[in-house]
Amino acid sequence: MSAIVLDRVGVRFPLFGARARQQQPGASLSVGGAIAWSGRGRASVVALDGVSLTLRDGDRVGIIGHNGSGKSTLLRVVGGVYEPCRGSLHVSGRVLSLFDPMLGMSTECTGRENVVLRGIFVGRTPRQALTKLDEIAEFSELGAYMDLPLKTYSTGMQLRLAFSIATAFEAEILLLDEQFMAGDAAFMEKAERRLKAFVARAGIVVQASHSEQLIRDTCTKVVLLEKGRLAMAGEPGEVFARYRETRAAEAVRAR
Amino acid sequence: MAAARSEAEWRRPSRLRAAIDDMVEGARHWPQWFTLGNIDIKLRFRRSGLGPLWSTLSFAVLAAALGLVYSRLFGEPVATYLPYVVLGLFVWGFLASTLQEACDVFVAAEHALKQYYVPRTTLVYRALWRNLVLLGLNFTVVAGVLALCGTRPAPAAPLALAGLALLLLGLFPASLLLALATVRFRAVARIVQTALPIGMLVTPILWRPATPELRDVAEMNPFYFAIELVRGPILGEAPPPLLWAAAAGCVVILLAAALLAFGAVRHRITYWL
Repeated sequence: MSAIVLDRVGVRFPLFGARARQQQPGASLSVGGAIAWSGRGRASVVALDGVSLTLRDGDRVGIIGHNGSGKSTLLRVVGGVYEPCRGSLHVSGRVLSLFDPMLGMSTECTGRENVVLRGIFVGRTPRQALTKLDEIAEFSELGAYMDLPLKTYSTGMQLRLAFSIATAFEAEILLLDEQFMAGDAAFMEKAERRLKAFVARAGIVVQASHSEQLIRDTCTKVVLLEKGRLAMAGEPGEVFARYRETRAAEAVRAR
Repeated sequence: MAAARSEAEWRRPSRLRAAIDDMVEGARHWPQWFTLGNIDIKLRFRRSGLGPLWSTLSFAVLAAALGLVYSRLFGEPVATYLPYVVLGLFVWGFLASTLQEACDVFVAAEHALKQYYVPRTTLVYRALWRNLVLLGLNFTVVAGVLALCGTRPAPAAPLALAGLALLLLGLFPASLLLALATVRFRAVARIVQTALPIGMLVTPILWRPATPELRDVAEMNPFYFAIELVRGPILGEAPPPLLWAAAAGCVVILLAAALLAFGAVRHRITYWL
């Protein structure tokens, strides 16, 4: 059984080298997290602040919010990239992050070697990764190209391969950042079917997106982040209503 | 959906524990770092004709050039001086390139570390393995020089393997420390780059610690321990037990320091990248 429990999770990024000028009092930013100042003039960006969330098997969760509201950071905390500065995190189940489709791949290496490389980054041994080779070659339709270096591929072919590899390794918990999909039109359709099936097999899916349509289509729960805080969590309908309200209010204030 | 839990219920394992777990988990992932290291070597020497043998060839040329020139300078017969130099450079080259590359271990993997969780030490083991492979290839030059100069390895030669093992045991924590330090203070890589050539000149590699003063200088130098424990047994100058003890002491100190530092900042690596 997969589960994700975040308890008052806080994440702050230290700003090195950028001893930015202290923010004018009263100025309010509509994008990005708050900037916190320590006594010694050191700045850090508050990316997440007191986020508590419990997700269970079967949850399909969409994360929405402005640019810099903490969507990607939240995904990366769950993925084990950032250990929370405050609060605690408990994750059970194998996690797979689908952020950058080309991650860990080298254009100097062959398609086959990239299957291994990518497999390594998702915690598989080279041998385990190679068991997926035939399936990946077939789905990506790359055939003989699997033994040529990636730099001989077209951009579209590279993305085909990247996508096929990324969705070959199963996981209980899937984390999706927006803009993961790409490729030519014919492949898109095929890729979408594969992604849907892949996602359906996972226990928990968390995805960040700006697309209301996508989230309404695929998610059972929606989490709204505002400047790193969890503003609301619940049914897609009510959360989107609240999201539109705050955006409208901001637009009025900006006028 | 939100759940308020008591702190105790989700208490984190201690940082030190997490550091040890990372080292163990990283080591267990050996097929990963083994493969990554091999691919690194392949990519570094791609389309270069000789492949990784280039590194061996450049080592051979360096050893031959320095050996021939400095044997004149020191007035020592080439047949005894060359084996001494080639063994010193053999260990030094490994040690220096491992320390230099250690600085880049986390910085170079920034993109991946910000997307996936991998045990941090996997990347340290990978760099060590990569350098160990090149060391293995360089051994052919050592063997060739010893044969050419008619130097029969001393009966104590197998002890050199123990020296090498001790060196590896020290290089792991040293690499980890440098990798961590560079993530936070990028200048460390530059400092190491400046310090290493100086280290080569002050360590008995080209010269012998023949006088009491020179011996005093050498015996304060951990690089000397590393080199002499491999070189000495092969050339039949068995290192005194005190040297083994000093080297072991350095390893223990490095391990303790690396464990403490890793425990303290392991969770900050991705924040600092």
